[in-house]
Amino acid sequence: MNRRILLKNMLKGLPMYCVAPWLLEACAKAERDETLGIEGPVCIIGAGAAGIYAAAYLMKLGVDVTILEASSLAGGRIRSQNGFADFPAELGAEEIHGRRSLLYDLALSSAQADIVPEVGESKYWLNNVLRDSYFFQQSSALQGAGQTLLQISESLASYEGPDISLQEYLINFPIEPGMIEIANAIIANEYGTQLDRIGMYALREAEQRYSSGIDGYFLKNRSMWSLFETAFPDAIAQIKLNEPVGEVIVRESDVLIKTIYDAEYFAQKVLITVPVSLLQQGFITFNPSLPQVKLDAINAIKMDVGSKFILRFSAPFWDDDTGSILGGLRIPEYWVSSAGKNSATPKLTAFVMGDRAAYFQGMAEPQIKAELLDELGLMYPAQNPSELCTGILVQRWADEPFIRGAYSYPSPQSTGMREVLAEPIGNRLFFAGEACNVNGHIATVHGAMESAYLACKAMKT
Amino acid sequence: MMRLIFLTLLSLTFHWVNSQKYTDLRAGVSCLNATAWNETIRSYNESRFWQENKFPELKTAFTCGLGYSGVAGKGLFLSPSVQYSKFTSQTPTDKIDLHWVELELACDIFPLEFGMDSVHYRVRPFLRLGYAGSMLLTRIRLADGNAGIDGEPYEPYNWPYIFHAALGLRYQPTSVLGFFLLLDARFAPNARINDFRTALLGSNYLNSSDQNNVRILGIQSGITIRIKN
Ligand SMILES: Cc1cc2nc3c(=O)[nH]c(=O)nc-3n(C[C@H](O)[C@H](O)[C@H](O)COP(=O)(O)OP(=O)(O)OC[C@H]3O[C@@H](n4cnc5c(N)ncnc54)[C@H](O)[C@@H]3O)c2cc1C
Repeated sequence: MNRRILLKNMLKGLPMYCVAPWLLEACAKAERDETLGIEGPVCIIGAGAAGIYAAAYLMKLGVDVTILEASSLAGGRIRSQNGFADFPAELGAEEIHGRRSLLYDLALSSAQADIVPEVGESKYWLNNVLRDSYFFQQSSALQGAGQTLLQISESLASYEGPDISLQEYLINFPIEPGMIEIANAIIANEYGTQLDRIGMYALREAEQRYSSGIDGYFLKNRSMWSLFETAFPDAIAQIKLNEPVGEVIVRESDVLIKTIYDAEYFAQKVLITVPVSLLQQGFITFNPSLPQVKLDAINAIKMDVGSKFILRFSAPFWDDDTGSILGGLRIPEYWVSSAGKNSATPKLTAFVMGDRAAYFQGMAEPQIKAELLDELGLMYPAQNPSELCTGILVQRWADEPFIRGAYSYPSPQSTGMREVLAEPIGNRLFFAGEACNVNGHIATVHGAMESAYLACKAMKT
Repeated sequence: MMRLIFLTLLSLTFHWVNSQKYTDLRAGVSCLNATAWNETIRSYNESRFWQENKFPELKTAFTCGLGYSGVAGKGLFLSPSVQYSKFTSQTPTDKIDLHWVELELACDIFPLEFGMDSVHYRVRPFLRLGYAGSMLLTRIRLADGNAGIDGEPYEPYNWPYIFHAALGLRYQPTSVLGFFLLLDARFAPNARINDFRTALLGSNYLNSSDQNNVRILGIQSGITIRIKN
């Protein structure tokens, strides 16, 4: 082949040489700019996990943000108390659920050395005897009821029967009453209520969305709140405390936000992150009023009474391998909150929801302490916990005027309602918070942050 | 899997019946357009806005391949080949790798020789049309170890199929050795990475999909060696 033919044939391949630079350029093209288009100012109502995360996110985009918080403290259901033990005692959120979440990543970026996995074994209070997990799973007396319970809890995400309560569902299985108490502790109490208040369809929905991992983590010697303080100081600086919002008026060109003390704020968009209980009880008036579907969603998603009581002891009376004690009739779950920490103060946290938590409402602290130690005395008769107890810390979330409950649970008729709750109204009103999380965990810190991310994303359109 | 077996068998059959044979070895770059996967990566970066290190989008890959080509008609070749591409998105601490292995059966059409008995040209353009079964392996390594879902390691395998069209130019200076340049476009409809959102973002909060139509543009060059009968 002579040179001319070679050249001629090469010219036939010219399109390829023209395309090649374009191809390489396409590969190097800058990423899409996602930061534009949110018209501020944005007013965020509530300075809990959702509100603070949203504020930090929006401020990073250069949006003008104001956060109005009703109480005198920021953090909402993330709250700790120093001084009671030699580490911050968590009164609300304490556990990081799984390793794949915004919260875990937040902890990883500022407190990696402080992340410790959940430690210890569960002990089960069954028919007035404290059992370890081996007995629970293998005992012929229980006929493998532990395995049955495990299977039940693993199959909740694929439940296909009628929409009955979890209590009605459990009756179908050959498990004895003691085991029902364990089920109450590991499922219903964890979800923030009791067996007969959980709807099976809503539970299935919640279980299907449970995707950040099944393992649990704690922070060794720092509080959950400190993660937010470290990561989002600018957002926290924007919080206006003691500003309970009582009215939100959507006008043609903006939104007027009025506190119950008649202070007024103006914004282009408002992000509402208050607990769903406050919306249910009509603490905030909306003008024009919220659409009926939104009101239906607000009313369908329930929050129960819930409390944490933290007991301090001079010495541990439980076995070294104890992580938690499940199945108590007064307190469904105790856990060793000093486990895994560099602490000389043994502590048990009592975690109680629903009617059992309501029983302690209005009760004086010494009596609560006596009731708890009474139960622990039954569980550990030889050790006499009463004599070792040096103090109690009481946190009743239903008594908090701007929280009014623990957290949202999978109540009957709430299936699909979280999507409705999270739906923005007219590019002015946006909703976030643990009850609004639509694809991930409900009732968690990271769930609240995720819902805030989605709400902020919706503001961009 | 069935697709891969079928293609392998087909390529073997074809190996026996042809007389004019080449093998080729090639390498190049590929450019990926995978909207849903990159949306997940963007959301990861956005939602973890406090992190300094951002994942770049999955875009470019190093690609290499090994092929075989045998005449099937006048100016028409059948070319089975195996190709490997690795798309990576990396920060100093985290990494997402897509390992993509394709087993392809392609038909090469040499338009200048179409219908001719013999080949006169040293530089020959050709058009390649192919169909590939492929295996897509995804690995995510994050700062604190490999990503996992519910305590299980995250090691998804997926089997997307790919349509392939390419423009090629082959230069044959000697009867044995040749060089070629290939500009390819690949299309993998509905390619999915199982639980990609969940593994990367954690909770499945993003309302997008793990599945998308993937388009890949690539440029490759290589050598061909003629295997004489
Ligand atoms: C006892 C307990 C234990 C928990 N344990 C865990 C755990 O281990 N792990 C986990 O991930 N999650 C846990 N949670 C859940 C977690 O704490 C919450 O899901 C999360 O903190 C909720 O964040 P939020 O922003 O949605 O709401 P909140 O934190 O409740 O924030 C809402 C804020 O709005 C304010 N507000 C209310 N009304 C008004 C108004 N009218 N005007 C202005 N402000 C108003 C409130 O004061 C509050 O600060 C626990 C919760 C409780 C109660």
